[in-house]
Amino acid sequence: MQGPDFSHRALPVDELSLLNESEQGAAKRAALPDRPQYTGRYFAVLRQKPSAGSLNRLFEHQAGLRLASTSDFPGSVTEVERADIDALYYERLGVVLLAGQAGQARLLAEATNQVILQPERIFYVPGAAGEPLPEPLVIPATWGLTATGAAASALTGKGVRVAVLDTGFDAGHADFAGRHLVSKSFVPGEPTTQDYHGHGTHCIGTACGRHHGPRTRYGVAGESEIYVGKIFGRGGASAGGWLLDAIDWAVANQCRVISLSLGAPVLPHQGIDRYYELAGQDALAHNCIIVAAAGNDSSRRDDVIAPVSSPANCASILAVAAVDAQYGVADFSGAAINPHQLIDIAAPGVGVYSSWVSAPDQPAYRTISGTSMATPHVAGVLALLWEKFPNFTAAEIVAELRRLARPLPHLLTSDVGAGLVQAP
Amino acid sequence: MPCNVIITASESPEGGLAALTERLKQEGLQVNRVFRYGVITGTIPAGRLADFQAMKDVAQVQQEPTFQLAPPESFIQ
Repeated sequence: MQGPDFSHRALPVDELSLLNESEQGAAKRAALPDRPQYTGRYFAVLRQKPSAGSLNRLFEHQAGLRLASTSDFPGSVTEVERADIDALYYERLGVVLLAGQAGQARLLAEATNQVILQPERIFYVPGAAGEPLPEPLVIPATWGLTATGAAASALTGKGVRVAVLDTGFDAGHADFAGRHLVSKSFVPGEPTTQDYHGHGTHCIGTACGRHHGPRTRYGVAGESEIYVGKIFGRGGASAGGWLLDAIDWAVANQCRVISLSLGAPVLPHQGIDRYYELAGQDALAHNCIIVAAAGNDSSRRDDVIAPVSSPANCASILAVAAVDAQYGVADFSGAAINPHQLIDIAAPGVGVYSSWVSAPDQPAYRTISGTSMATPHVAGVLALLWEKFPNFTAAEIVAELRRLARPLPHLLTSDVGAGLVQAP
Repeated sequence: MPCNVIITASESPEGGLAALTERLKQEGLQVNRVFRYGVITGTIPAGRLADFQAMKDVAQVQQEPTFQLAPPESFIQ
């Protein structure tokens, strides 16, 4: 009989070791890099707890294997290694390790059906042989991506063009390397689309940002095609005519979504700006949905509730309100004060982390609040919907957006519309 | 001081949008853009807003609105 071998020499697989391997296991094993998978030793898993003496009878008298128990060696493993035994019984586990190879395992298998034989596997540290490390199972994401279900969605907005009309974009931001990006400035005298403020980069991050490595994910539609329309000049001012130009450009470029994180305050009893309504209707007729911020002019703690801003107050444009992480309406968020000037939907708009205008090689991020931050959440979700239903009309996409929204029954429709936007 | 305006045409202007644009030009509008959905942007001489508002097939003449963002360091954007 061969002497005890509790060393860890790697040995080739033999027939017996394939006994319990499943088809899936075999396929996975075949895909592994070429290195030893088994030590050559076997575990005998006992089907039931043995009565006193029955284990000795089985191993020693029936199979001729010298058996010892781990409780016989209260000291160190080296004691076991020097002991003159063939099998080691791990009492608490109900498992016996057979020191010899297939031959001994076969002996035992012939002697009894009270054990299940399993080959002892070799474990390797992932990445040690140069293969890629496994992806982390839990990718940290902003509360907004989690609350909207965007973090869990398999959709990415792939192939969908999303226009964000704002302060431009920091195209050099490291997180956006390799992204499909089309930019145009509508600010007279400022041909560059580089973002000098940060607002545009933040909104584009929320709508279209992609996850990078261990960093917190902050974007909804990470594979969408980004159309940057710069409509705010360096001083942070824009004009209605520039906005109309940029909307027309986005529609002409087959954008499916236009995100407007902007608004002009509207007074109670004031009417809508009809030209925005017409622009919105024209966009819808070309399968493009415009979303706009409901406005930040409220101060609800002071009982000041402002009407929805223009252009969000138009029926053909989706007005987005802001909620916080406790699903309360944001203090500043506008409401449906004027008849027919409604809130359509709500989205995360308090404490929103996203990209910001950066120094070269030093990507920046910022956490800010506003209906400006809620709006691109909806824009990103619309991109996911367009990816999922490329043949829908704009009206059908909007209907689905409303249908999927999570009702917030403790809040008013005049504050949150259909509820909290949810990703498909 | 010339005034930037956004003009909204009525639903079916006589002779179409192009004809209306011509009439507006004759009246003194410097046209910037004509949008197919019935909106014209441009510039008119100061103090003449009411004249343009009164024209046939003009639904609305509005001084071009502006938007202003909060400064970058603001917490609410």
